[in-house]
Amino acid sequence: MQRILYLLQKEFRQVFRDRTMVAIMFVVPVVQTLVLGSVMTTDVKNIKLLIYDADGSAASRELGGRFINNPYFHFVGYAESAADIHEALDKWQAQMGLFIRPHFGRDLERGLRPEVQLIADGLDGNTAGIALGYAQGILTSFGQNLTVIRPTVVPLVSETRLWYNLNLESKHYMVPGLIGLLATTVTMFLTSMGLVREKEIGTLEQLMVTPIRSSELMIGKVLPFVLIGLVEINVMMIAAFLIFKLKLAGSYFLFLGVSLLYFLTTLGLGIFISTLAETQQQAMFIAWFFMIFLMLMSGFLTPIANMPEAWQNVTYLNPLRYYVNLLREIFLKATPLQFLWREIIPLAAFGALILVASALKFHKRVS
Amino acid sequence: MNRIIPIIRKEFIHIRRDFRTLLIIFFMPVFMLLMYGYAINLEIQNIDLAVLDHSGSPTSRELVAAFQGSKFFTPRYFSGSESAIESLFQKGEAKAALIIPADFARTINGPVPTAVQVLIDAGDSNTAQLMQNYINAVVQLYNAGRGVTAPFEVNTSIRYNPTLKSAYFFVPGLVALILMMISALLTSLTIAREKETGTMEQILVSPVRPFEIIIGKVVPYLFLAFADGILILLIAHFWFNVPITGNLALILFACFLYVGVALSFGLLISTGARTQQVAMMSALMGTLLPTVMLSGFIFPIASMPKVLQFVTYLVPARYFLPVIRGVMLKGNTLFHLWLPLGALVLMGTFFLTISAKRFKMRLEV
Repeated sequence: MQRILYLLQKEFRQVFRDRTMVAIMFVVPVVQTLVLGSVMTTDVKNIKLLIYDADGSAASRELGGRFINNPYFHFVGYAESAADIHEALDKWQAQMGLFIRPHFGRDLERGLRPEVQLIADGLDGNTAGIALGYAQGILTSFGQNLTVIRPTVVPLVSETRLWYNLNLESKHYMVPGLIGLLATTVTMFLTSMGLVREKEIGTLEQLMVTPIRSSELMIGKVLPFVLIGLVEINVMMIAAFLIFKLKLAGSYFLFLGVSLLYFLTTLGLGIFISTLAETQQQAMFIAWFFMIFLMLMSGFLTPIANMPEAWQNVTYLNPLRYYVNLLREIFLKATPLQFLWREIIPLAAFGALILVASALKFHKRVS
Repeated sequence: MNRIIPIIRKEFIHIRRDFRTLLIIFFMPVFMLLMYGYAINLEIQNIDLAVLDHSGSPTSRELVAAFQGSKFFTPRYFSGSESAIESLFQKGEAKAALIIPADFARTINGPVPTAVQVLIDAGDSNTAQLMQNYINAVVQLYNAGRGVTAPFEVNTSIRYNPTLKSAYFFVPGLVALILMMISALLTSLTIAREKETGTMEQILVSPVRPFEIIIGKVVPYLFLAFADGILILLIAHFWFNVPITGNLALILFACFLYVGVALSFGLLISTGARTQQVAMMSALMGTLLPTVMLSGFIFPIASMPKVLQFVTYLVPARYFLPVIRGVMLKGNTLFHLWLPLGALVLMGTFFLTISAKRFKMRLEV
C-alpha cells in the first residue's frame, strides 16, 4: 500500500509538472465541448439558392418570394438562363436552383399543371435531401394556398410532436457522446503512453529493481488516470450545463457509476497497448487504431441503425456503444436503472474481461 | 544542401527500423476508410413506428399500409393509451408513434382536413428531422393516392450525385482527414523524440542549420504520406466506386500540397512540445477534431454559428475539401480552384517558417 502511494505521488508529479499537459487535459475538453456542441448539428441552414424566373408573372414572383423569405435558404441572386444555374453549381456559388418556366402563371390559371424545376447539388447527399425536403414543403404550401383550383378532396395532415428535445437541439444529443469520447481519449491514450514511456526512456528497469511488485506498479500507473478521468467527466458535465444549459436529467451517481465501469475497459486497453508497443509513437498509433474503432462503431456520430446489418452486429462488441447509450439515456431521458441493465451488464462484462486479460499479459511481460 | 541529405537518410533509417509503425501507417488508412465508408450513412431506414389505431377501421389500416409500403418505416400495432408510448421510447422499442383518432374513418372524407398525431423521439435531432421529412413524404403520397394534387408539377434534378450516396461525399472527405492525421502525427513526434531521448544535443552541436533540419525531417514523411494518399485514392475509386471526373494530375498535386501543409503543422507542434506525450495530444486535438468538425467534412460550414465560420478559415482541410470533391465529382479545373490551392500554399509556407524560427530560438537558449 505504502509503495503504491509513493508511485502515485510520482505519477501525479510527473503529470502536473508539465503545464502544457495540464492545459491539454483540462482546458481542451471545455473548448471542445463549446465548439463541437455548436458545430455538431446536422441541421441544414443557409442553403445557397439561385432563382431563374423565366416567367416574371405575379404567381412566379410570389413563388420566388416564398423561397427568398424562407429562413433555411440564402438567396444569392437571379440567374439569367438555365445554364447560369448549372455554372453556379459548378463553381460552388449555389447549392440549389429554382427554375420557373415561361408561362408558369398563365398555365397555372388555366389549370394546365405547369412544371417547376429544382436543380440540386447532390454532392452532400444529406444536405441535398434535407434541402429538397424544405423546398417541397414550400411548394406544397404554395399549392395549397392557391385558390385557382378548389380541391374536391381535403388533405390529411400530420401534427408532429417532438419528445425529449423540443427544439431539435443536436448539441443535447451530441454532448453526452462527446463525454464518452473524451473520457476514452484521456484514459486510454495516457495510460498506454505513460507505461510505454518508462520502457522507452529506460526507467522501467530502475522501477523493476525496486521492491515494487508488478501489480502495484500497474495500479500506481493506472490509478492517477482514473482520477483524472473522473475529474474530466465532471468538468465536462459542468461545462455542458454552463454553456448549453444541458442538465443531467438522471441520477448523478448512476452517471459516475457507469463511467467507472467504462474506465475498466479503457484502462484495460491502455495496459494491453503498452504490452504491444515498444515506443510511445507505436503506443499512440495503436491507441488511435482502437479509438477509431470505438468511435465509429459506437453510434456517436451516425446512428447504428443506418449501418449495414453485419456492421451493426460488430457494434455489440464495442464497450463505447453501451457507454454512449447509457450517457444519452441518463442525460436526456432520465431513464431509471431498471431499464438500463441491457446496457450495463455487457459494459461491465467487457470491462472486467479486458482489464483482467490485459493485467495478466502485463504481469507476464514484466516478469 | 549536402547536409540535408544525410538528415533525410537518417530519418529514413529510423522509419525503416520501426517496422510496427510503418505497418500501422499503411494498414490504418485502409482500415479507417473501410470503417468510415460503411459506418457513416446518414440515411435511415426501417424506423420502428408504434401505431395506436383508435379507429381500427379499414380506412385507418390503409394509412398504416402507406407507412408499411415505404422503406423508411416498420409499423407495429400497439394497444393501450398514449401514456404507454413514453415507456416504448425509453425501452427503445419505438422511435416514433402514429396515433389515429377514433373518428378517423368518418372525418377523413369530411369538409375539414383531418389530423393524425405523430410523436417522435427527438433525442437524436438529426434522425428526428429526417423522420419528420419521411412522415411528410408518406402523408403526401397518401394524399396523392386519394386524389389530392398540387396545381403544378415539381421536377427535381440532382447533379453530381443523383442517388445521393453518402459515400460520394464522405470518401473524398476521408482522404483529407486521414492524410492530415497521419502526416501531423508522424512529424509531431520526430523532434519531441529527439528531445526526450536526449539526441537533440547531438544534433545541436553538429553544423547543420535549423532550416536544414526542418527540411530534412519533412521530406521523408512527405513521401510516406503521399504514398498513403495514393493508396487511399485507389481504394476510394476502385472499392467505393467514387468517380474521378476531373484531372487526376490536379488531384495528385493537391494531395501533395496538402500533405506538405499537414507535415509542417505537425512540425510546428513538435518544436513547441517537450515530450512526445504532449506532442501527441496536441497533434491529436489539433487535427482530428478540427478536421472532422470545422472543415465541412460532415457538417456544412454554412450552418455553423458565425464565429466558428471564421475559425474554419484556419483549418487546412477546409481548403482541400472543395478541391478534392470538386475535381473528383464536379470535374472542376485549376481555373475554379486557384483560391483554395493558393491558401494551402500560404499556410504551408507560414507553418514551415514559424517552425524554423521557433527551432532556432531553442537552439540559442
